[in-house]
Amino acid sequence: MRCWALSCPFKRWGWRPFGPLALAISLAAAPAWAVRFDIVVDSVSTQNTVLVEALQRLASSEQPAVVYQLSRANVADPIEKGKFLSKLAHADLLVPIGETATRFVAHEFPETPIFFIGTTVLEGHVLERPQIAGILTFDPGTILQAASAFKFKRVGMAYTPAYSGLAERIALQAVAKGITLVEAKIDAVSDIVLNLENLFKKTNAVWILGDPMLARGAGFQFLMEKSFAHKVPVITASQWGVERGALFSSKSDSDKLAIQSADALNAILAADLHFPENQLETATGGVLLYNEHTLKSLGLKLPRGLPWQPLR
Amino acid sequence: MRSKLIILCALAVLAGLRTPAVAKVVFTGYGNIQMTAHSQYKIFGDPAALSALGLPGIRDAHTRGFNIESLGLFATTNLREDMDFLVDFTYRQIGNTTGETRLQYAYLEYRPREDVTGRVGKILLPFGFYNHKRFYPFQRIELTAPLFQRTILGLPIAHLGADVQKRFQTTWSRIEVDFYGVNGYGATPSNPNQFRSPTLPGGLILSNNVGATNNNGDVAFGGRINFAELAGKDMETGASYYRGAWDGSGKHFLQLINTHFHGNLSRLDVVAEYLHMDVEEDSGFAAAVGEKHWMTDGGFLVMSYPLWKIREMPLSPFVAAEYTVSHGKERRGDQEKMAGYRAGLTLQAMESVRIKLEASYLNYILPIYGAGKLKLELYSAVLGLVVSF
Repeated sequence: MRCWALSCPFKRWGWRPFGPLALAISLAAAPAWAVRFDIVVDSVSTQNTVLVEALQRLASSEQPAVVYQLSRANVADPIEKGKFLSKLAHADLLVPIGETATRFVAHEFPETPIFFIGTTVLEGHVLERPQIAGILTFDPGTILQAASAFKFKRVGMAYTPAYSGLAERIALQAVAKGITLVEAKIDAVSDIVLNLENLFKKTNAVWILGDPMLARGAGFQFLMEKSFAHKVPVITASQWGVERGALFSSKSDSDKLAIQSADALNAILAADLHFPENQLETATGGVLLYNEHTLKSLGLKLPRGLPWQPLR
Repeated sequence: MRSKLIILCALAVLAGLRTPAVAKVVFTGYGNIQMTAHSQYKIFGDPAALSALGLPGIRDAHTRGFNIESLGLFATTNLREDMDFLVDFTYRQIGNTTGETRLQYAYLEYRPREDVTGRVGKILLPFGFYNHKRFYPFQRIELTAPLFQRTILGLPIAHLGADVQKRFQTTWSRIEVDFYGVNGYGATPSNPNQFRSPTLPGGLILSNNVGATNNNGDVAFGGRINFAELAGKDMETGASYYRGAWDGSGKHFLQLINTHFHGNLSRLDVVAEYLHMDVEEDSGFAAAVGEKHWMTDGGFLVMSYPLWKIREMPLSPFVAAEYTVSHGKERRGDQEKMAGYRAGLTLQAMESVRIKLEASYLNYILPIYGAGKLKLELYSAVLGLVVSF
């Protein structure tokens, strides 16, 4: 057989050059094992800049974490939404920051591992996925401390099944603070009315844990109606609730949240996307936001010695 | 030794295959479902003109019913950070089967720099404002697009070719400059020497003139300059140009000139466009306006304002008007005229759901040179549901 070139390397050197070549190809083509994670934030603000930067530092130099702002993505337009989603589809892990970003990412990427930060509300069925975890931005310790300062001896806590683990941990903290926690696990929308009626009759305050079924929409409206009817205050996990009539909530400290989030994300990345058993962590520290109008209408006085911040 | 090397090579190939697939296709889409509550049209005119179009006598009819005006699927894949491939499959005339399937666009988009974007494939022509920003029903408040743009030019204006956009940021505006080269508009499918003809059905519609390949050796070119975010506000204005040979010989040209304005100031949304079209040596439309060299001038205006809220859902009234006239260069014959008026309400029920009610009136006059005029009057009231997903 005639070789195609006079200086055909195969004819001259046989198989010898292919060994190092194959090794070189192998090394060049081998996948980069570093996990690629992208960050989706409602919008970049001074409050979350520290957090975003702390998370970005965890990314490898080969696969830097890209930060996307949901508020700029125009996802109501399916063409723009398609462009946005196709970029996010590259990520092995998505890190949404904020409630809107978390709910959007959880809805659009049911198969992708998610580590969320900065939300207080998330659908229970989302938390049933194996590879999801996050930090809820309220501090149960501070909330219980405030409840104790208000002399709320019996606090009702309504939650959905996905929040059971968190509710158990809060119950242990409540005991330490001398508060009796009356729990109501609500399995379905049809159970809301009866359970909340019972809680408002038996307790000094009602605290709801973050399923939108309770903390948003008609469920929350019903909660507030009952609160004013029974003159029993509502404690929420978010500023959103306080703006709509709840007595108080806690707001996390952004610097502490950045450190806590970076540590938690680092652990997940180091474990090759193995998620922790306690998928719902809570923030620590921060301030207590309260509604002045609700405070006055319920005839309550603000206890001293706590980091209160008014919301009008 | 040789077998070891073969195994090593095989391992190298397998290692390459283990590289995870990076391009995932994302599907999004929309549906535009309509219920025509009332539609009544009347075709009348000079008997000679009517018979020339195969329409003997006066026609008067009304219709009512449901239809899916369009159903679109957008497939998007991000090949790498600076590169996307985008396709739009749109289905129309949906009954037992789909009467019309369109690939409205299919192009590779490349962004080598933050201020430069290149597109190649079947691209949406950077022409005016409406073609890019308001063509799809989920992008606009009103239910239907301006009639001349929609039915004559054929929205969206999408041609096979390439486009490059460069953006310049200044203190008073973001300036977007586009240059493109495309196959462009050709002759009518039925006659290579005609660009437009007063024949039914379809002879008047220019979107049929966009073929799979160029019908001559001339590549149509054009550009657009757009001044966006004027004074930092949601306001833009600009001008567009298109020039290309339409006939098989590549000697006779079509020119389009457009100016546009869009502003959303204090929630009042205004879109206005003006179009000038110039066609040479078209024996087809000479049968209408009496000259082979003919022109079209016209424009439209759409205004909307979110005036009320129903349970947190914005309700926006809108009004729209358009007027277009086509005539010979020397104005020897009669003029083709189209005047349309629309008004209605749009309720943004959800971020991805809009309910629209629109009443419209159209008056159209088509001259047949030496035989008089055909006139069309159309009244309609249509309820639409636009869902994006």
